[in-house]
This record gives sequence, C-alpha cells and structure tokens, in this order.
Amino acid sequence: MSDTIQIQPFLRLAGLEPLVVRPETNFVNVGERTNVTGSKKFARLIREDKYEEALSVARQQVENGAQILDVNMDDALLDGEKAMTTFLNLLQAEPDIAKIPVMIDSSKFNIIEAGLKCVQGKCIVNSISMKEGEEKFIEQAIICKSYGASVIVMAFDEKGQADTQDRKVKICEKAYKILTEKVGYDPQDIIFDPNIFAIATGIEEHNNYGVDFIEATRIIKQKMPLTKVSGGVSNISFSFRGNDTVRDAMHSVFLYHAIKAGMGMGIVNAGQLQVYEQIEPQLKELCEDVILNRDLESTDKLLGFAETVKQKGKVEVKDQAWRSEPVEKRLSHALVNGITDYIDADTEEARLKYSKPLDVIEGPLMDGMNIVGDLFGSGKMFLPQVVKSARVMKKSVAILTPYIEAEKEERRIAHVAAGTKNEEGAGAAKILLATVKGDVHDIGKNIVGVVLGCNGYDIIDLGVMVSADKILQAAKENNVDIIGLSGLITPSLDEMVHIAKEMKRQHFEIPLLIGGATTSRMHTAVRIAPEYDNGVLHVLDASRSVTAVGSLLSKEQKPDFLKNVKVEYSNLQTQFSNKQKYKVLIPYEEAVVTKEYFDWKNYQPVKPAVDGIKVFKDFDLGTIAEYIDWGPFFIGWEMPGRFPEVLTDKIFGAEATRLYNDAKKMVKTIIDKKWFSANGTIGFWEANSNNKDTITLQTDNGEVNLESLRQQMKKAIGQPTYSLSDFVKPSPSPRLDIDSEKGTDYMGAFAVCIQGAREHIDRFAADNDEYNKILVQILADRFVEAFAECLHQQVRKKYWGYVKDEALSNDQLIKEEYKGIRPAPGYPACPDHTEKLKLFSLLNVTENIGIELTESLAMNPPASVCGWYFAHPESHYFGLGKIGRDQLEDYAKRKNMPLEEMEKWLRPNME
Amino acid sequence: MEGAFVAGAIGPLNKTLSLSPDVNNPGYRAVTFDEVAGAYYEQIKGLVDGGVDILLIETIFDTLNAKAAIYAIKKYFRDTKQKELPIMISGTITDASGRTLSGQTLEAFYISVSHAKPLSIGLNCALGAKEMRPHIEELSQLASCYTSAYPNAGLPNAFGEYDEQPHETAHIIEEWAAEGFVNIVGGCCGTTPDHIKHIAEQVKKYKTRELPALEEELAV
Repeated sequence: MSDTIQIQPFLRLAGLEPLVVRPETNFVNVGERTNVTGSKKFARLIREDKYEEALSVARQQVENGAQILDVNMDDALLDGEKAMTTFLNLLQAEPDIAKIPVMIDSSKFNIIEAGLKCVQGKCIVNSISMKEGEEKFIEQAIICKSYGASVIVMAFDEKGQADTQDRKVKICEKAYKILTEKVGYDPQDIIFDPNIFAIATGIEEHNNYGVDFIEATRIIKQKMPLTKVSGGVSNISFSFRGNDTVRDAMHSVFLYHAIKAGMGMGIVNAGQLQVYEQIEPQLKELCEDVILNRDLESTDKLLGFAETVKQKGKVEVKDQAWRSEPVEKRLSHALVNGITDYIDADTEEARLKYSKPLDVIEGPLMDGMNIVGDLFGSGKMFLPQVVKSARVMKKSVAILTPYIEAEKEERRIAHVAAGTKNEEGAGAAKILLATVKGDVHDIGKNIVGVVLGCNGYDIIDLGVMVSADKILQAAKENNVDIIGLSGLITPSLDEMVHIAKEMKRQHFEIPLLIGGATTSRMHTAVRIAPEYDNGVLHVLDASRSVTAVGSLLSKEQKPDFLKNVKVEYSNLQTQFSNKQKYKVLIPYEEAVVTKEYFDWKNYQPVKPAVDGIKVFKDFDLGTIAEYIDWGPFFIGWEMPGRFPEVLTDKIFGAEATRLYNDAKKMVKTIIDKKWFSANGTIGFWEANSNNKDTITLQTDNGEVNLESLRQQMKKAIGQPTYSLSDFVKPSPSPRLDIDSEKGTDYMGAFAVCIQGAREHIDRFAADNDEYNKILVQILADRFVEAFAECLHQQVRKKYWGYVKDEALSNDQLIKEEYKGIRPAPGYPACPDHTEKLKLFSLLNVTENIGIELTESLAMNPPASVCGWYFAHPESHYFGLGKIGRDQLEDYAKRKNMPLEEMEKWLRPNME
Repeated sequence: MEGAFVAGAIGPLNKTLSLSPDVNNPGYRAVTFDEVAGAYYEQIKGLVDGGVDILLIETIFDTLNAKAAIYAIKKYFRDTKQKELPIMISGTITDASGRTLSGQTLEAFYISVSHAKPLSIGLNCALGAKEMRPHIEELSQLASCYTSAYPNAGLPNAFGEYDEQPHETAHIIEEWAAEGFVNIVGGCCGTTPDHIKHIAEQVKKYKTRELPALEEELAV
C-alpha cells in the first residue's frame, strides 16, 4: 500500500469539470462579459429574451480562456431572479460552457440564492459583506454554505466600502474570523474583494486607491494565506472610459503588481489582457506612476498622453491644444466636452466667417451635436454629459438668434416690397412637448427635451399643466411634426386619452408620444393607442426617445415602424384581455372578513405629544440634507443602480461620481444661500376604525371619516387582504369608548414642500443652462423626500413619540426599517387621490404652508409630499392591486360620490 | 441488533433538477430546487423520527438533487437545533465516460458535495464491481473522508437479471480492500444476502483504507 495521501487546502471549484486552484495556478481569469451591468450587448440580449445569443457570449468567454464565468443580471429593468434562473438553466445544457464553474454575481441576495438553486457544480458567490451588519452577514454566509458555495467577501461594512489599506485589511480580518469561527467556512473557500476603485479621477483622495489595494492584498495574503484575493480589474481605469489603449495598459500594469502582491483571481475581459512587457514604454511608465501613485503630476501626464492616443497603436499629433484648431473643430470640441468657456467668442468668430448666421447652426453646431447624439446613442456619453452639451448649444444659439431674426425681418420686408411669398420654415423637425393639464411634474420631460434638442430637433416646450386645447392649437400654429405628452400622477393618464381622442376628432396626422413615470407600454397600448390612428407610441426614457423620433420622422422607416408598433400593441391588448379573464378577485364582503388582525387587546396606543396641528416654517435645510436618499437622484438621471455602488459602476461610474460631486456642491449652495425654503405641517387625531374600511377621526370640527380601499385579489389561505384601516384600532361604536384611554387609537397626517426652487430653475433656464436647471429641479425633489423622512423620524421620536429611543442610520431609514408608515394618497396603498382633499382640509395645508392642488389633485409646487401617519408597529406598506366593481360601488357610496366620477379616479385599479 | 448502525437511505427522485425533460426547451425544469428540498426535508424528518443513526444520500445521478438533499439536511438540523447526524454520500457513474448522468466528472461531483462534510463518499449502482474499479480507485485518491462502494452484481443480462455469483463479486471487492481503496463495501442491484456474506468474509482480512492527511498549510 502506498504512503498516506496528503490533501492540500486548495480552493476547489467545479462545473461539469473540476477547477483546483493550486499555488502554481498564478492567476484565475473570471470572464466578465456575461454581466448586464458591464456588457451592453449582453444586457440587450437578455432584455430582448435572446438567450440563445446570450449563451454565445458565455461561450466566447470560455474560448478566450475564462476559467470561471461571472454571471450578473442586476438591471433595474430586468426581473433579476428570473433572468438568472433562465440563463443558468440554459447554460447547464451547454457542456462546453457548463464545464467551468459559475460565479453568481449580484448585489441582491435573492438573485444570488435563485442562482445557487440552478447549478449542480460548486459556485462562487459574488458577493456578501458586512455592509448591513454582522448578523445579516452571518445569515447570508450560512445560506451560501448550505449550497456549498465559496464566497467573495467585499471589504464593506456598515461604515461603507473600505478605501484605505488599513480598513480593507481590518474588515477582511474580521470577516475571516466570523466565517471560520462562527459559520464554519474553510479558509480556502473564502475570497476577498478589497475593492478596486477608479484612480486618476482628478480627485486627490483617489490617487492612492491602487496602492491601497495592492498593499492590502499583500497583508491579507500574509495573514490569511489560504484565502484568495480577487477584484473587478476594469474599475481601476474608469476615468479613461472609451480609451481602450490606456485602459488595457492600466489593467496589465495593475495586475502585474497586484498578482505579485498575491491577488490570485480577477474579473477581466478574458480576451483583452495585454502583455505587460509589450506595453509601449512611455505609456507603461505613466501607468506605473499613476497606479503606484509615485508622482503628484502623474494623473495629468497620463491624461495628456491619453489625448494623443485614439485607437490602439495610433498616436495622433493632436495635443490638448484644441484651441488652435479651426473654429468648426473648436465648436464641436466644446459641444462634445460640454465646455462653455470660449463659446461666446467662438460663436462670434463663426458668425463672421459664415455668410448667414443660420449656417453656423446648420453647419458646425449641428455637426457637433450629431457627434454627441451618436456617442449618446452608442452608450459612449451619458445623460449628464449630454445635458452639458445642450447647455453649450443653447448658449451658442442664443448669441446667433438676434441676427437670424434680423435677417428674417429683412427678407420679410424684401418679400413685401417685391410682392412675393415667403416660403421659409422648412428647417429642423419640430417636436412639441407638454405636461398635461392637472399635472406639474416635468423633470423627465425636460430631459427628453434636452436630449432631442441635442439630436437636432427644434423643441417647443409648452411647460406644465397645459390643456388639450392649448397643446393642439400650438401644434397647428407651429406646424409641429410630433407631439410628446408627459405626466406623473395617475389622473394624467385619462387626460392623455382625452388628447388622443381630440387629435382624432381634429384630423391630426402626426404621431403622439407618451412618457412619464405613471405611463406604461400596456396603458398606452390598451387605452390610448385605440383612440388615435396615426401613431401612438410609449417611450420609456430619454435615450429611447431619440430612436423613436428618428424612425417616426424618416419617410422610409415610418410606415414599417408604425406597423410594428401596431402589431406589438395589439398583442399587448390581447395579452391584457386574456389576463383580465384569469385575474381572480374575491367578493369585497369576503375580503373584509379576511382582513389583517392585530392583537389589539395587548396593544397600548400612544397618545401623541402634539395636540392638533403643528406648522414648521423654514425648517433647517442642513438637517434635511442629511436625510437625502441619493438612489432616486441617479435614477432621475437615467443611471439606475444602487447608491453608492453606482459611483463605481463599470459603465457610468466616473460620470456618476462627477455628477455626485456637482450635486453635493449645489446642495451646499442651497443650504448656505438659502435657495430653498422648507415648510411643513403635521397633525394628530383620535382615531378608530369600524372593523371595515372606514377610519373615523375626532377633530375640533367634529368627526371626519377617512375611507380606505381593500385588496381583493385571491391570495393563499391565511394571507390577509390588506387595507390601511386595519392598522387603526377597531371600535364597533367609536363613540362609546372614546373616553376610556384604552379604547382610543390615534392617527396623523403631514404635508411638506420645498419652495423657492422655481426662481432658480427659471434663472438657469434663462441662462440656457439646462444642466443646472435639471440639477436644481431634481434636488428639490430629493430635499422634499428627505424632509418627509426627517419629519417622520421626529414624529416617531418626539411629536407623536411612540418610538422615543429610535436610533436608525439613514440607510436603515431608506430601507424603511422604522416602525409605522406614512402612505401618501395617490400611491399604491391608497391610490385614491381625492382623499388628499380631506388631508388638505384637516391640516389646512394651503393656508399653512402654501401647497395648492390642481384639478387633477397634483400638488404645486411639484416638490411636495403629503401622507398619513400610522403608528402600529406591524403596520406596513402594500400595493392595493385590482379591485372589483362591488368594492367600487361600496366605496363611492361611502364617499358620497357619483359612481362614474369615482371610477374615473380609480380606473387604474379597476382594469 | 446490537452493534449495528442504521443508515436511512435518501434515494433519487424521478425528476431531475439539472436536466430538461423537454428536448425542445433545454431551459425547462420539471421541478424546482425548493420542491425537491421540501420533499427531502419531510423524508429526513421521518427518518430521524424513526431513529436512524446515519443519513445516506445515494444513487445520485443529478448532483443538484443531492445538493438539495444536503441543503434540506442542514436546514432540518438547524431548525430543530439537534446535533447533525453523520451523512454518507454515494453517487452513480452511469457509463464508461466516467461521468454522472448530469454530466459531471467524478472529481467535480466530489467537490460539489464536499460541503456536506460527509462521513463517507462513494459509488453505487449502474455498474458492476468490475466496471466500477477505476472510479473507486480515483475516488480513493481524492476523498478526504472515508470511501464506500456497493456495486451491482455485474451488468444485467438480456432479461434484466444479474448473473454474477456471490464469490465472483466478493473476489473483485477483495482486491479493492487489498489495494486500500475502500472503507465501506456492500452490494446494490442484483446482490443477495449471500453476496454480502461472501464480501464480508473476503474483506475481513485487510486493513481499511487509511484516511488522507489534511494539510492545513500550503506546502511551500
């Protein structure tokens, strides 16, 4: 018999075949292209359900030498769990791909777990971390372990992502101790990702990020030799996006040093790694300086070099001295790079050079904007950059406009004198945009206007709260080519239907575009498209508006395009009516019985500290700013992803960071210069529910009944059908118990708004500064949401005082971990906007803080929020979903409102 | 019986998690991981309530099904806060390719279930002892835990019957013991009490396989 066999503590993984990572393995390539956040192509294929082709991306990675396949489906537009499951199941049927192990990559643990359920081999989970605390970390680690996966632990804790060497090492050591001692992980199954961050960003604190990673790696490998160190290598070179020559060189140089320090694994584009030795010497030297942070000037030097390199190997004699180029080139450079510094002088120079001022617009300016449009279309520029380009364009056009007008006038006079007819006006296609009657929200519409403007269209923006008459009249007067409607609140949907009908009645022939947060492809297909025959199209976001408008304005493409849309929409209509048939609702009476029951006997309601109404004028902006949730801010700029991860996103990380810095600066100005004024009001009343869907408040002016709606969809047995009234203590005859302390429950309401934003929006608009205009507008929204969050916390701790000792971080607040809720009328739990009228009258909102309601019950100023306060610790948010006619009838009767009118307000929940 | 341990067998399902039963739709699955884990959970509870000493996941032809069983075992003992019973794992190599039905090589299979920290890993069914030999030899080199093998009584004849006689089976398995491939042996399809008796007699004279040494540091 042989000697005793020795088994080494190697990291062992498996697909259909084993992968044993031995010391001589040196470096394991993890293929990165099967990642929707990193590969546009892959993302598109998945979104379009082209899984067959998506598999070929995976195959390519394997053929290019990937030893592990990273799969990521984190896209706001995707059902991540479903996409992960579908892709991995299909992948199992491809032995040439499935032979290598899978790395399941997601920032959402539910997606990770869905992935783990599909793979027979031993996977790597990418990643878990202590960002939500130790307890969550242990819980997730135990789950990973019970599926037999190795884990990547990101150096991330409750304080944030570790950026310094010291913090990286400390967090990894702590995670190691927990995983090996408390969870039972073998050291060789632990992989650390100590965060590779972008360097050479122009921000000084970022300069040492490369060194921090490399040195942290060295110490981690010394202290915990069996573990592996991995990382997303392309992060390091974000700031050189679009310049693959420099990026590839940086990756190679970085890996060269990081591998020497002990990095054993990395997520890379397996086909694209350049050989360290073959990097052009000057470039290599510069990369080393930047990565090892050896020279204070290194960033500038590398940036300078990057300018000279365009395509691989090609060195242009271009320099940074774009100022010495001909004026056309300068204009286009200024547009693409969003530089306004010289635009006045350059425009003037071009005006004198060209025979007509209009030629400057149609010549060099349009050429520049076409480049911007192309770059945006191909994902090489991002929305904030495009908005900056628009600012340059507008400034230039503003200088030229007086000359153009003067010329027009001259020609008109000449025509009149000669008795001929003026046939001008055939310029760029015109697009009319408007937020419909009753609605005041227009950030999205403004962005669409900017983006379309950048693509050479003439934008006529009628603003907000525009009636159908005005829209259609303006469309005729200006002879526009397309009408685009926008809206955020649900009643706007009806208004859009109305406009479509009017367009038909008035024999319009131009296409109608629909957009805005409340709109959807389904609603457009089912409700709006059937009302107008000459083209109705839903546009999801600004970037899509460009292609849609392009197709609609092209004589060749338009007929086919509209035909395809029609087919698509009629499919949706069929789908919709099929769904209708299968949608199972239970009778309203039954739904009331299966309400949610709390243990009221053992519940002691807390009497609010504030009696009646309290008004807050000029609330401290600095305090509010601490509560800002930056996630929606980036979504507003069409950069989906979680905050702060979006700042290091593979695609828009660098631009997001720049935007974030601009926003932070503006927040500071807003606070210092008091640009905004934050006003709010809260109130509390004794309240009881009637065991059904009415809550009765006792106010100084007598009883007020609030009516709520109840879920009616068929649920699994034991699942309650929710209604907000379930969260207030029931009392069959409310009057009886009113005096006994124990019988009375309480409810509250609030309204907050940000005033003063308008002035700055108008100022920036007047200055043709679209970028700052949209920035201040989006920030006003963030401030008002933060104000609502902040006030809610003070209510819990002080003004109502039912959780006096709450200590939650902003992150926890954003995740709604607090006790009690603040649902807003018009939103999923209580979609009826008309209850807002009661809220406004209870708090005397308009008089106290100046928010007004439009006829569609939108709040003006747009940066306003109102809602109800419920304190019961088990109260929770939910979506009402569809309701039946029986409930509608009952509800209308309770509210004393004509059935047809009630139906109008609740239509989205009826169909 | 005094001195005997009872292993509760957790056999395969007729539905599999890694393969689609529909050739035109390779992404389709007839069952979900949660369903499989749920079914096993119930079975584990029954076996534990019945007093078994060991849980034996056996005749594994789809590793993902086995992983669902492991998941269910871990979860069951976590939920009930009992001390975990030892786990034995026995896979099935279906043909001469040396792979499981779901396509994994033996080593890949071993790696994929090793998180169970099993008492033993081994092979059973599908092959006779003669065909199983190279695989059990390979496994004995890989496994850090005990190894087990219970082959069929040869390959079935045209009528689906097993012709291999007890002394024939015992003879091959005796060789495995002599080579130090195995710790636990037995018989699967076609074997009889008489086969087991013969095997037991033959292997008695050999020392069982020595457990490998687990290095805790990387050899420099």
